[in-house]
Amino acid sequence: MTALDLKGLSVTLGSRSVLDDLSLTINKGEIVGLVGASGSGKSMTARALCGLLPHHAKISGTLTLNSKTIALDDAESFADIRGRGIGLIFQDPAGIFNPLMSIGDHVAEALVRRSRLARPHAREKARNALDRAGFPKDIPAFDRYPHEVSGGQRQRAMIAAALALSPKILIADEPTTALDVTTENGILALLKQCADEDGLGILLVSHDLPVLARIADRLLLMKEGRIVESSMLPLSNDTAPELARLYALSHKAPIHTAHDRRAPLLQTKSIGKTYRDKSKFLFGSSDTIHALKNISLFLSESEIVAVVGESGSGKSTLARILADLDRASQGEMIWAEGKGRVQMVFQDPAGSLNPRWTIGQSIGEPLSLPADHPRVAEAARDAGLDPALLTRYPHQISGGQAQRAAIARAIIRRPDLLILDEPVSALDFEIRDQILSLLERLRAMHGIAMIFITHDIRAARRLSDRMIILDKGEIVESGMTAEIFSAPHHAVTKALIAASSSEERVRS
Amino acid sequence: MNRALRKKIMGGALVLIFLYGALAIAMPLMESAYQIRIDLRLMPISSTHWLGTDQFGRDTFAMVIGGCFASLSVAAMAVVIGAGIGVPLGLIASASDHVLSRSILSLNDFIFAFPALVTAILIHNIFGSGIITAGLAIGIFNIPVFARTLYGAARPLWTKDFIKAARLAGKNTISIAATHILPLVSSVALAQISMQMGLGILAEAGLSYVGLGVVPPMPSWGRMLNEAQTLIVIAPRLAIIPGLAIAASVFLFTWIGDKLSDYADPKRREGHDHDRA
Repeated sequence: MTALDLKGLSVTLGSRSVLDDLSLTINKGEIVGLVGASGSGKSMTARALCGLLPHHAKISGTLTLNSKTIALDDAESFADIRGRGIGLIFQDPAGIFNPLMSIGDHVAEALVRRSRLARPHAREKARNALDRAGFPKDIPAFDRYPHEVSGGQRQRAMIAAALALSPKILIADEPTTALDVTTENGILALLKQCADEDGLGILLVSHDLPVLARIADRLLLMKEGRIVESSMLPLSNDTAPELARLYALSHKAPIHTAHDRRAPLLQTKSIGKTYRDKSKFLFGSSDTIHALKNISLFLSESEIVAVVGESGSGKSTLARILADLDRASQGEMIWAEGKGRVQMVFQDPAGSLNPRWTIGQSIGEPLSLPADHPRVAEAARDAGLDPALLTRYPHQISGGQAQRAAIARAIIRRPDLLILDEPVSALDFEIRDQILSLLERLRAMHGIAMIFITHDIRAARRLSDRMIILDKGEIVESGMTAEIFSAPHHAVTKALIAASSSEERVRS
Repeated sequence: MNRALRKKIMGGALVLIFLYGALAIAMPLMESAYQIRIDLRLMPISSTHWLGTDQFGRDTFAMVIGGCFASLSVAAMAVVIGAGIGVPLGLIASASDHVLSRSILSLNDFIFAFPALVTAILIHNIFGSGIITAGLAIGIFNIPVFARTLYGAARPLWTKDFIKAARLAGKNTISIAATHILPLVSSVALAQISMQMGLGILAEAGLSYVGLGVVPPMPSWGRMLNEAQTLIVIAPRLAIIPGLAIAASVFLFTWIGDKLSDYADPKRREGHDHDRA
């Protein structure tokens, strides 16, 4: 049974057409995955369905929901049927919560506003909705404020608020992008349960194809404002060659070089990092927080070691200490004779370049070279960046190109060690693959050792020789990447691997 | 957009500088126009006295122009003092973490908490009246304004990844402040300069009104207001004209400042949001 039927949706912003004659249907209890690169218009589609387009956008098309058909440019009747029919959840739960309202009140508020329930009644229904969304029962939701609960719990609260109004359709725009792998799995399971048990139709928008493939019934691929491919799962090369190709990219086999004995480069002895909890300075004894405990590791020349862990595991603190941007509280670092030049590549390519500097200026900075120096162009070419882009500013190039520029800046001084802090997490699927290949090539060409910090164990498997698993500031497991994958010991490792491989029901 | 903005700022600054230069040249020429001549007192608006004369027979138009010179001089001096000391202090506070940053900010709060008029009287008693005194008194209170604004604008920049990259490139804090931070906050500083010019003109009028500003015979808008208040019924224009002059110049500078801070804030510059698909 069709729950939502959208026909001929077109959106123009000024003179630019962002969505072009787009049609889609969502059945009762069906999860439709909408995938595409940044700028393909997938978020715009989600926003158009929720009436959240910018004011100057022009919209046309028809929508059938609850067996009522309306024209989308008729704002009033659109708002009318949208109100209770379509629920929405976003990527960043922190941004949409009012910090001064408790979690429970957020959910109750929606009920009071939309269903005109009396407040005590609304609170009771809100508690039920939170229970259904898997919000932990032992947390008093009406006494907890958004910053006092975890990202996964906030996401559950947002789902509860959306479901409390019992919509027919739920639109989820990148609902798990900001979450850890294990939390992500929980949220995905919840969405699946809503579709199966309550017959909710879900449009799941994401740039992450494996995530979609894990729970969606049907996949749609968007490109330049159109749906170019549509396929039931599992994917096959005949019906959906592009989707199948993109999916294969995410599961590329790891490339492992022969492990001859390499010269040692760096050794750390029991590095620790502690902070004092300042909030308790005046009242009660001040607690010490251990961000890192007793980290001993070694690294050989031109070796790639992945440091894998969930957020809060201390992996970024370790990166800062190794890069000498932060001082360790205990322990020492011993470099091989004459070595010790460290460079770093950061997660957010946009934030790692000065917005007022040209790309060439940024790349030349470590050697204080002018932007038009031949070595700058050479470093850019090494990083696979067209030297013609050197005169541009960061906002004039794509995220992938910006990350290549950041890599060019990091390698221009031929570092001994390159620290990669989640270098591909912010990038689209295809670009992610290209950057990983580039890093492999750089290691082969220049013999640069790398420490690859990531929460994405799939990417770590692809690139690393050895792997270190961090949890709560401690190393819980380490070893050769292939061995860890074939025989993981620690529970955290198993959870990380299980989370990344629970998508095996899809075969290309 | 960068080049267009720079052109606008240059254009605005040039106009102001020319105006200032013209006034500086016009001042001695008009000296005779604001000599006290009781026989010409309270003349109505005419072709020889464009805005009439006051109770001492001084030409009101010449007084307004002369007052403009005094106001601009005092406000400019106050801004030079405020920005010259406040901008580096704000940058230093934003860069350092603990003691230095906190002591600069506490010093700021201390000056903020001090009543401006008391300081003006103090400086007046030490140095006497005049442009220097007024400029100094207002300038001291401009320092924490610039320091706070620059601190607020620069502080979040220090945690950006490109600053970490610059540290890894071997740059020290001072050269990072000069090459990365200062250029990024310069538009904020420019906007604040314009705002403080407007507020400085207002403050100068206030000081002159209570007799702590420029000394006679140099004309001043604030003193014109003071002298006009006893004649408010007989010749209201004597109060209205300097009042309008103050209002217009304050409006002009704060308006420019507001526009500049629009440019400084990329979110307000865009005007509409992007497709973040």
